[in-house]
Amino acid sequence: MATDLSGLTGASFREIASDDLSDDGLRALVELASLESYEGCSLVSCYRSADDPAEAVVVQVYIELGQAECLNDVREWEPVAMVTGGHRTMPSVFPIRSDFPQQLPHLNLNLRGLRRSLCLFDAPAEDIAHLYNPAMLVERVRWWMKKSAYGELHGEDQPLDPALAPSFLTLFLPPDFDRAASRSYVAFRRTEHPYSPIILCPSACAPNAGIPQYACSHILTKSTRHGSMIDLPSNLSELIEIYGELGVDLTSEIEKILPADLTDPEARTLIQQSLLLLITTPLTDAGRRAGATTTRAFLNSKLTLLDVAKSLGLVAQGGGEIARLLQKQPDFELQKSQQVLPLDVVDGFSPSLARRTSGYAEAPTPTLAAIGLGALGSQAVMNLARMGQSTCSLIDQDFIAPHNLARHAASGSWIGYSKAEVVGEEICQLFQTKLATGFHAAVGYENMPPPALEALSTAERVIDFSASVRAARWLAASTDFESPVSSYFVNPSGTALVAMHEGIGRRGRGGEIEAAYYAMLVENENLQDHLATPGQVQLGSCRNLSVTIPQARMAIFAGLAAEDIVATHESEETSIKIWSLNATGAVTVERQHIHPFDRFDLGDWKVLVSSSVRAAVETARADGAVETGGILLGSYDLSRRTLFITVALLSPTDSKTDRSYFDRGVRGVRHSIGEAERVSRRHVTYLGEWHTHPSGANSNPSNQDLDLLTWIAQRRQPFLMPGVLLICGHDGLRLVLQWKERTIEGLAATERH
Amino acid sequence: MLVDFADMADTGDDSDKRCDLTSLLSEDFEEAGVEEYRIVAFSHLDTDHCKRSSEYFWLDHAKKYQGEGRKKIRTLWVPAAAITEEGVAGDARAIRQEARHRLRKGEGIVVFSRPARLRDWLEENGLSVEDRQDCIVDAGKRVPGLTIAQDAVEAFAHSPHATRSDENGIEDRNGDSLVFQMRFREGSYDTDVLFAADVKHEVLAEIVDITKHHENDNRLHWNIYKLPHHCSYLSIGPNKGTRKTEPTEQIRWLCEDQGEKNGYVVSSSWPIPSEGSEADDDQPPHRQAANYYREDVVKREHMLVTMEHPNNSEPKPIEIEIGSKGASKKALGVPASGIAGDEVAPRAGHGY
Repeated sequence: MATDLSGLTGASFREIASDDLSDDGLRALVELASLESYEGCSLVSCYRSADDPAEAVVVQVYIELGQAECLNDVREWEPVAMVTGGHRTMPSVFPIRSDFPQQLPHLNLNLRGLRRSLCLFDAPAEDIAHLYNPAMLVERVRWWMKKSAYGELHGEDQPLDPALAPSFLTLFLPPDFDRAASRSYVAFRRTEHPYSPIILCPSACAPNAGIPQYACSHILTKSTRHGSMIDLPSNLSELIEIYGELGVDLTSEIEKILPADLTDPEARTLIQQSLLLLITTPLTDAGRRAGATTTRAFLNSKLTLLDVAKSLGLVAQGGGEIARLLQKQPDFELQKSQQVLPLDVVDGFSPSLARRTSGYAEAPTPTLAAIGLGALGSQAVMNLARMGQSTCSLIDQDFIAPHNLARHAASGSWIGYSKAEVVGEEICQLFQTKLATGFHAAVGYENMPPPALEALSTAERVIDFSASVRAARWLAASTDFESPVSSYFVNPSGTALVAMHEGIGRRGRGGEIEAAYYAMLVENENLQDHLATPGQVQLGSCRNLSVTIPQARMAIFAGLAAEDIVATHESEETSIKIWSLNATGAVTVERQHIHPFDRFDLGDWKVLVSSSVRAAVETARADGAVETGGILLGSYDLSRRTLFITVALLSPTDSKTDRSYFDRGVRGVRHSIGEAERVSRRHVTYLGEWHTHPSGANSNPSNQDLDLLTWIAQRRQPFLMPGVLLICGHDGLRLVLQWKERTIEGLAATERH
Repeated sequence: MLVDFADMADTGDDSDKRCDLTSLLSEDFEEAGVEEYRIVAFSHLDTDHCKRSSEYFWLDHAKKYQGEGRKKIRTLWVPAAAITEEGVAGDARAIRQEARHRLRKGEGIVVFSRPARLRDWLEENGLSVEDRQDCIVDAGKRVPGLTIAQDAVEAFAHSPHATRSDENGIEDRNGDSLVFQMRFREGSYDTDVLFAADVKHEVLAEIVDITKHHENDNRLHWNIYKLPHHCSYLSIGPNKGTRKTEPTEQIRWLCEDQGEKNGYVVSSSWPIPSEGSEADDDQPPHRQAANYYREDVVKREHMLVTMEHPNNSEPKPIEIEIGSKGASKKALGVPASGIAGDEVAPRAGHGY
């Protein structure tokens, strides 16, 4: 008995013998369905279209339903038609039971009056056509049916189904498109290429005259259940009917678009424009919870607003005059002849879309102040913007030079412009809205412009890409803002990215972190060449990039930096992270948490002792049976009279020790200091000595301790540094400092638990 | 878990369409990657429920039943008669001896019985009921060794049951066979499978009455009903009927009220004979019984007959999957990635 296939494609089908099928895929399907050993489906009949090359095979598919109540009326055996229009094209699959539920998710939309096919795959047909075989397709149909029976096809965590049948035309919404508001828009094409997308923008942003435009209006409907928008209209009459079923009076909505004064020349221009209708419908899920909205657009470039207004009976035209009709006189036959084409609607690029597509929908978005918009900074900031972290102030005093284009995010048209302003403008162009501001200014100088300083102090997070020691130290010492500072820079050889985080609360400051960074290089054998610049003599700041770094590598570092910034938005941890990129492209990561330093304010000097030094000294003291000691290494800032003691070398093997004295040996000391200076490029050097007092003894310096201190101070004086002695006793860690013949001491007491 | 083992096929007869059970189960066992059957239940010791089991299983009680390739049993389920009955031979005797051996040892066995029924035998073997109460499950109780919480499955014993045992000193096999309900939990859905061995309608009626008396109706609920006695009319009512067997009230309640609308009944039997055919005789399966099940109990296509599935000419095992939506029969022959992994491939080789 022939099956009713009307409404599948608009064409009519006649039954044929299976041997007469010309499509290889359908012939294979028939073979499969005819196998007695296969119970997934059974053959019913075969068809060919009378009007076009389409062929169809109807099978009964077996769905393995259990006894649990089905949410939707899917039955154990469902007849489906598999319809193909050409050789090896993936068939469309239509359920053809007359009362098969039409409002299930994942049924493809079709024109009004035509049946809906199953949306079986989450990829376009052409992307999986090479995988198609009838067994795969039938099993997929069976899976679709079973899942749909129990309402499990659409996961609760999936966005609601806004599926729209593919269209040849696309409409791009503006980034700030407000689906909840009805506004007037203009729509236009940027190029004359066929099928070029249509751009929507608010009326106030209309492009120059001469560019073809569409009269556009955005209509908001009441909500409906997702999957229930089952039909696409093919003409104006169906459009009005479909939305009428959703409670929208489109005639009235179109009437609102009509200008009030139809004699006005501008108004007449408007109504002679092609009509583009934009309609947003809020969607609810099966539990009637609001989940999403769907925006549809309909267009006919040959149909003007005036044509539509006339067929709706809103206006009449005669003798060159256009006038509103007091009583609507719709021409329903004319409406049926006025075709409309659905458009694919694409959201504009907004920060929230950027976050969603980056997988950062829930990520915090603090306002950022970024300092230094060079190679690393410009690319990292643009990465952040594309990830939805776009509200930022940008500060840099440099201009874009031709050679910068090797790695800078700017294009060639920006040569000569301020780096900060360029990057700010690029971000604004990305989202077509003012989100970023560039300040041409330098950080760390007294005459920093107030707006830049204001931006810095009001930002919720400060990112320093400047690789400027001056800027870094100014930021570390500044009390003008409370937001945490993170610094990112690339090592001199361009093989590693370094991140230094103060953490929320700024418990650790830049100076200590920098000192800990150098100590990390000294103590980690994987980082011994971190600051090396092969073939170059390098003096001064390790952040002075005078080496070649390919853009490919800088892009990797900019990506790592951007991701790390997002990951540490809410971190309170003071830390250092180093990503090292090796020749094979592998990235190894070293990280260190920086515990608070013990701080000693001793006269003009501040001495900060790292927790690792404290731990090393206390551990070496052990039970205090005998004294022990060694060399202190660390960093210094003479302009701020600050010493950072970050490494405590253990007792040389030729040292002599007893319960009442410690004579520090010399074996290996020179080599250790030399290596530390080499690895850290002299940022870590000799600062003083440490030793322990035996059990039961406090840390007060003895006379021989003070003699030692004097000896140290004499040797440090040419370096403009004080003598420093660290003594560990039962009462804690005591720092004794001698500067210009004045001895000052301070105690960091042992923590009692 | 295995319920009964009877390799009935005549391997010398090419026209015998019954499966090579030993090979099928061996392949299944290997694929499962287990070391032993966790449970093997022998519903009773008729030949068509235990044939060649002494060749397939590793039996602890005698070395001649041990060796490579034999499958071990962790726990054996048997009815009381499997312990006490005398005069059995062959495979039935082997199973009896194994059951007795395990009961003496006090491990690896659950005997479905009123405990007192086993007293005499236990005392003869120097044991008391109390010594072996952990190995005995009475009707109306959950079978030890399986819990929903840990295993997502439990079993409830219906028979052998007291009424039967008390009134009839003659140990009628079918009457003293295992009737139990397995309950599987997947997600939040429970799927019940009722196993009724070869019991007749009178026994089923007793079970129904007792169960209702104790308000344990849900213990006779089923998604799958493994039909008793190979689709015999005697498991429905006393009279075969001309076209359809009429059920007793208890059977009607059991089949029509306790079964899921879209459930399955499974008849382990020859194809249902058509009217007037040679097989349309007194031996089950009876077409009159089949008509009752197909017309009044489940949808026609949900009555599954082992020797008819998927067709009479080439029957294959029926596979039913129990999942979070209940029980569904798996479609046969679903292609698996184009690799015929579930078939024995033809020999490859140089050939010389």
